[in-house]
Amino acid sequence: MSTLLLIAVACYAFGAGYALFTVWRMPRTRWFWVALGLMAAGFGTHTLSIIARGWEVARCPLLSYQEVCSFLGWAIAAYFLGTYFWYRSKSFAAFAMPMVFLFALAAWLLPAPSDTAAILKFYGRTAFLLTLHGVLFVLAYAAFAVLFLAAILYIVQERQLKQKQFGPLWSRLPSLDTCDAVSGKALMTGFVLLTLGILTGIVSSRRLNGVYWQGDPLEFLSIATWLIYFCVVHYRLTAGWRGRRAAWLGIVGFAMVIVSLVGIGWFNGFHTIG
Amino acid sequence: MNVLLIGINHTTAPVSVRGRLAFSEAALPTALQRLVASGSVSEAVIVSTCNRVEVIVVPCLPTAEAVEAVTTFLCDYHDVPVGQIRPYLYIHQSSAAARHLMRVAASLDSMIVGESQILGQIKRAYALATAANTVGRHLHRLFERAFAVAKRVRTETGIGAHAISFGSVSVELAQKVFDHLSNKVLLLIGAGEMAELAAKCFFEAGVPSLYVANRTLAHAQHLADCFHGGGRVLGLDELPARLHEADIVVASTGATTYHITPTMVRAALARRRYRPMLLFDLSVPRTIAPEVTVLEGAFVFDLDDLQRVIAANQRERRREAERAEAIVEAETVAFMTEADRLDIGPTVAALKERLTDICNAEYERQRKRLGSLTPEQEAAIRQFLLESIVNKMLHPLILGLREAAKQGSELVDLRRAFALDSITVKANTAGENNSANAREEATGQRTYR
Repeated sequence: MSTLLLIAVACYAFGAGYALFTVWRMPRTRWFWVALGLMAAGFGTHTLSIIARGWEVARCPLLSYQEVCSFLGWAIAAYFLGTYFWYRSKSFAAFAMPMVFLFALAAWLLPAPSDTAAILKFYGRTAFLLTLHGVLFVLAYAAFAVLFLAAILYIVQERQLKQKQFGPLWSRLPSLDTCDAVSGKALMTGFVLLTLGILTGIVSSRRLNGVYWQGDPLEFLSIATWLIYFCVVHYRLTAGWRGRRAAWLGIVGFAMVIVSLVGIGWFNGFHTIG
Repeated sequence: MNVLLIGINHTTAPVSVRGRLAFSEAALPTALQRLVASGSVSEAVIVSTCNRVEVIVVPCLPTAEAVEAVTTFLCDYHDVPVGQIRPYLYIHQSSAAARHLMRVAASLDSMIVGESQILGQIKRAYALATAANTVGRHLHRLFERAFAVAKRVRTETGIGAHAISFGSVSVELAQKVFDHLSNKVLLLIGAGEMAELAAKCFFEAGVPSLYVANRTLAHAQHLADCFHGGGRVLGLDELPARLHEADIVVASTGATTYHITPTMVRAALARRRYRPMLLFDLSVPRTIAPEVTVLEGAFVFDLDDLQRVIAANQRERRREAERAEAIVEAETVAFMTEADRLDIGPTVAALKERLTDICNAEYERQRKRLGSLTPEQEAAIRQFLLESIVNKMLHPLILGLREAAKQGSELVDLRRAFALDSITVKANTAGENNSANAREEATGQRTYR
């Protein structure tokens, strides 16, 4: 599994290198195709590595930091490839590559845990629901990561347009419309997944311990995150909010996501994973 | 390789002179054939655009005479006194001519550096000359190489990537905001020349529909009609009610008051559910109130802003042009080296001279054995027998040389076997005229002023 992951990381590394190079100067188009091909290849091996890991431990590989990072990187890669085929925006693709690389690298560097299947066995009947809870959260986080990226690109681009000062990145940035469309879709996807994730969490909590709310710090964080994204969704749908304010909220929301991710290990409460 | 390029362009000649020397496309074939028929050149291509007239030839005569012949041809053809155009002509020879043609094809010599039309124009000129049968293998190789270099410059440098006209810069900015323009609505305020130019650029970029708002509706209608039924006319008083329909606004009026106020734009943005609007103000004084800039979702660019973008892009282009010059320089050197290596003409001539010398020498040596011959017989032997022997021996060698040249192999071996290079040296030092030519070749370029 780790060999497969290493291959994936190597492929992603090239993509990330390509992206950093584009910041410096415009490479030839064929390098983009090479980078995209390698990203796709990396994605393929990454998928295999996750399947292999799942096979190895006979469960959904989502019970350790290493597995969560790997899964998150994979989900972002999937989202990014989908975005490319949907919008054909090379520049957006180029900026998404380093993010995928970082998560995959983190997954490879983190120590593989000892068998955590026992924890799931302990949960018995609720194991499936808990797994679903984890998967939904990770997929939602991946969507928010894409939203975060689109928001940053939007803000940079909007700033340059407003101030009429076109920096070195100018010609590489995707159009405002593309950023807005990508972030809009990512927002809706992420919000729905997050909502479902929270619901499955509540239900499994009830089944396991008989209470809907454990009072775990992570629960508060998740609700806060949900509220932020709820605001963005609400104003986007009712007042047609888009642009800078929505983008800033997207960034704040992603900060919460990162805190939550770190918090899983930090708070050492109910949500601890291996 | 001996190529001569004689011409004028926008930097050397005023438009009146260029206009007098220009060739119409219909007249080019006959002009080319007339030039070649004069016997002074063996191959010719004429490139005639609004910014340049250039005659590229492979001369049959020594350089100075060929230059004279081409100049005379140009003057005779257009019925202009030679003295009037001579001060404006530039003359490039061999490597300088190749370099110049490559620079022109790569749009490094254009008035707007990096514009893409010139390559098409040269391709057209070359196609016409090919059809008129005035292109041989020398010019064929030179032009094919120039096209390849132009393509290389375009793909390897960003010379054509930065927009440098108001229209194209506006379109570029619009693409930065909207990505695809194929479902966007353009609103023109004012129906003047600026508005028309902008509308044309946006139409070429795929904007499908347009409103024209103008005080005089007839003018607006006239402009709207130019765009294949895609245009509709608005009165200026309808602007507040219709502004929200426009994604891109181009204002170019002579008005002294603001036609677009922050209140109007704020209302329009709200009705658009804050989808961004792009506004260009091409008028002096401004038609769009400056306060519109602060509204979120409204992006306003006035003439000064666009001018700044253009200046920045021009700097970009100049930087890219330097890279392009380096490419052209390297390609010129490579091309000339290859051309010299592949040019079998001098080798064949030297070989023939060498073989004739050998035959003559042997004939003189064995003359006594032939006994007495009448002067007619002797002349026949020298004229027919020896010469045909030389030609028969030369024939397979020429075929071999041609084959070798085609495959790009060196001709050095054969030259060494027959010690041809020592002969060439002898011939060069012998003729005053030749060494004068060689000096000219070394300087490469001469401008008659």
